[in-house]
Amino acid sequence: MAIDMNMPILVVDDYKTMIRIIRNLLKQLGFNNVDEASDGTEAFAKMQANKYGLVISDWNMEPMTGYELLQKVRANSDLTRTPFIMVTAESKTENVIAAKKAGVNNYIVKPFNAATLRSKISAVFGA
Amino acid sequence: MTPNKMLSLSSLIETHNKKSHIMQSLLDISLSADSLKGKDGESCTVLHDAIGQLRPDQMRRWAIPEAIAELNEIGKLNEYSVNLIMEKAESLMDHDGAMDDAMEVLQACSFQDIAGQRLAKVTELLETLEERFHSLVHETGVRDSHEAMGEEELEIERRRKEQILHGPQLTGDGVSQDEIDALLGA
Repeated sequence: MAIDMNMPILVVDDYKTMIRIIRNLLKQLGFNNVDEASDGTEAFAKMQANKYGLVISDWNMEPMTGYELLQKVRANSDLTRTPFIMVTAESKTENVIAAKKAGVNNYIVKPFNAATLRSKISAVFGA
Repeated sequence: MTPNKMLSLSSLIETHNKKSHIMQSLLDISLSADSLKGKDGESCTVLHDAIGQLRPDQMRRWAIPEAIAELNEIGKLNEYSVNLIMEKAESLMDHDGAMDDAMEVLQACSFQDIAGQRLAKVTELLETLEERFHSLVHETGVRDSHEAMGEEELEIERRRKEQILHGPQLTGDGVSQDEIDALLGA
């Protein structure tokens, strides 16, 4: 399946530097339609207002974590099918299993590079 | 507790807050506890409880070693990242017109040296504090007070457990990207 390079992507992270890095990596991969949110609450509000083709989210944020965001997204009938990649420094097995149970599409451990991001996005879209 | 004894404890806490001489304050508390032995049972109990609320055993067994491990990890990550940045900046220097920018990048990397020295300083302080807590527990026989955990702290702890918030893993503690892929079958 070909990936729509113009799909809107929502990047969620409480560190502006990380958002900037992910934006640049996505740009390098050819994705230019990128929006951002600084935590789960803002992300969920944006997801209800706009349709995104992919969400790339950090885990450890307040007031709403990436894990809570994932659970809310999967529990919402309008958003439940939105591809969701967790990009986080949380790399305990229990985190990965919890994310899998909650319905994450892929999981990237920080630090990572453009090749890893590309391969995980490709895997999510079966490309 | 007599007003004088209360004043004495308050002044210790004031010293701790104002000057951040944590180790000295702990030592003072420990010495005061020794001097009160056999003199005033009530004062001793209050001081004993105050020390217990510092949870010195938890500090030396878990909190301080974890803080030291985190600082060491920061040092390693800084070093790794700076080496990578410098390597790329050096290769950019070969390109026409990029020399000045590459030089600025290299110069900015000098933060690692200063940051490393500061980290080493704090690590040394924590190691000394760890030893002092060990002595405090050993000398006074005080047990950690679990009543010291306030509502706010309990709420933070509950949320950490509920949301599985560990923070970044130490080297070798978490799972690798390959292991994550295997777990997800991705």
